[in-house]
Amino acid sequence: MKPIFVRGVSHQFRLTLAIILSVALLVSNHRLDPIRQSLSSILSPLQYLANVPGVMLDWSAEAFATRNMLELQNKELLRQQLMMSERLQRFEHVRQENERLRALLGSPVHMDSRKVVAEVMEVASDPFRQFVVLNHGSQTGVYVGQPVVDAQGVVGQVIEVSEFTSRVLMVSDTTHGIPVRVTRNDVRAIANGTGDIDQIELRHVAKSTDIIAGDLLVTSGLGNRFPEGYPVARVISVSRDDGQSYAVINAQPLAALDRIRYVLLIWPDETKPFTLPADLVGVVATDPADVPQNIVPVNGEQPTTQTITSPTTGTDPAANNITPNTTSNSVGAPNTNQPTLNPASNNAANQPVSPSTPTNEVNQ
Amino acid sequence: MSAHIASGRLVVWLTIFIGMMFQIMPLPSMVENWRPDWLLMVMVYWAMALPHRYSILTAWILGVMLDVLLGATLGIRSLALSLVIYIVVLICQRLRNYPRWQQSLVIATLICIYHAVIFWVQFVVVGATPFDFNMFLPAVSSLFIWWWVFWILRNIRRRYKVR
Repeated sequence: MKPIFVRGVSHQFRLTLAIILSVALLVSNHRLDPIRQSLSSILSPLQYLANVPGVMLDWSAEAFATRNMLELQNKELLRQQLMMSERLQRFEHVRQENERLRALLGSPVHMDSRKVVAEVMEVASDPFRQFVVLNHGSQTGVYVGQPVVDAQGVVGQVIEVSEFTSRVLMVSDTTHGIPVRVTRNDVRAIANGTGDIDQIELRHVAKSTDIIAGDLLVTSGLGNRFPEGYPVARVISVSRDDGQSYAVINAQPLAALDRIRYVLLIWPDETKPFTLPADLVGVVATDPADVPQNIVPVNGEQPTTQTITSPTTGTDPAANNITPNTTSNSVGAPNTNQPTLNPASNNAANQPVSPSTPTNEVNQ
Repeated sequence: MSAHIASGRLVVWLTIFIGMMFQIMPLPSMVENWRPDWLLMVMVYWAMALPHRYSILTAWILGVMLDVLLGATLGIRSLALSLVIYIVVLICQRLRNYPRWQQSLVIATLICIYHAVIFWVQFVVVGATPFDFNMFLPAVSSLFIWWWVFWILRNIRRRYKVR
């Protein structure tokens, strides 16, 4: 069966050929994306097949769930739903207010973007890389660079798309960086992955920068990849060692990167008008056509209305109706006519928008 | 005769693809680091048993496929896998006659080499990644699983008379 003399070319030659081919692949890796994409489309059935045991496990967990478990789950979900809808009511009010203020500032109004729920099919088995494979690909419209979030925060971005699957690089990968902003004081930084699944770090931050443990980092929207305002991580430690040239800041990603199962793919550019869920439309009082009226008088009225402060408007009985006075007051921040009044009006403007004072918002 | 060869080829590729499926199957993160190198073990078995049919270039192709499936830089695993299979082909006569426990020690060593090469190439190509002894854990788990893999694959080979 086995010939004593090797037929054809020798093993050494084959090895040399294999090494040369591998090195050629390594060197020309950036130019091979189309080939990789088509190969990965061809091989994606294998990925679906490899996912079958996990799916079956899920299915059996559902099929063998007892009545008691389902009841408990149902109760918990109902409770959560109630909490969420209550928060959504407040959110809706804040959103409208925010939209008006943004319109006054001339900033683009945030729209609700298209989202698709995707399931994690495969997790990197490579200890040096941190990514997951999702069950949506170019058929759904997934593109390279697309932001991916879960219920708690940013997961990462798409780095590779095939026909029916896509690969998401997580924020904790060493090659991933994401522009962030501290919610407390708007300090900007870039959060880099460390290779540890529960840790990212802010590099090249000066020691005097005001960042403390517990600060929330959200996406800053700079870099045009991640839409603004999604929570990314919470700072867990800040060390200002004299031996280091920069502060060493570690943060923990908010998304549960080690146990994600479902994630959201976001299309920030494909916006659609925000619509409330049908059962909430009746609950939240809306004031139609308020925004366009307010935009016009801003510039003309600014000097005169600058003196009105928010405490007086806070007691305004007209519930949802924001008058031109209060809104133009909020615009006081960029105003250069009366620099002495700026800090005060700035504070006043920040107050109603802040989510930490819910009673204030309701009164507004 | 040709139908016979074709069926043998089909069986070999089937085992290889099952090995590949196990290689990319999602696992809980606790046991993730301990995942045995299924594909490498299957490939080592066939290279050991039939070195004139399945050797370095087969390993190279499988390495490229694994790179695509794992989303790694193309060429990393193909290089490592073909190196390992080259060693197997060189020592296949001896390897066949070793007792089973000695075989598994050799396999564990090969897996260590495999992961060291992957780490080294990744270090050069992708950039600084911290050295982590966890990457040698698959060698330990494969040490115990090789016995079963060998047993199953040998039975398959005899049952289907693959040559």
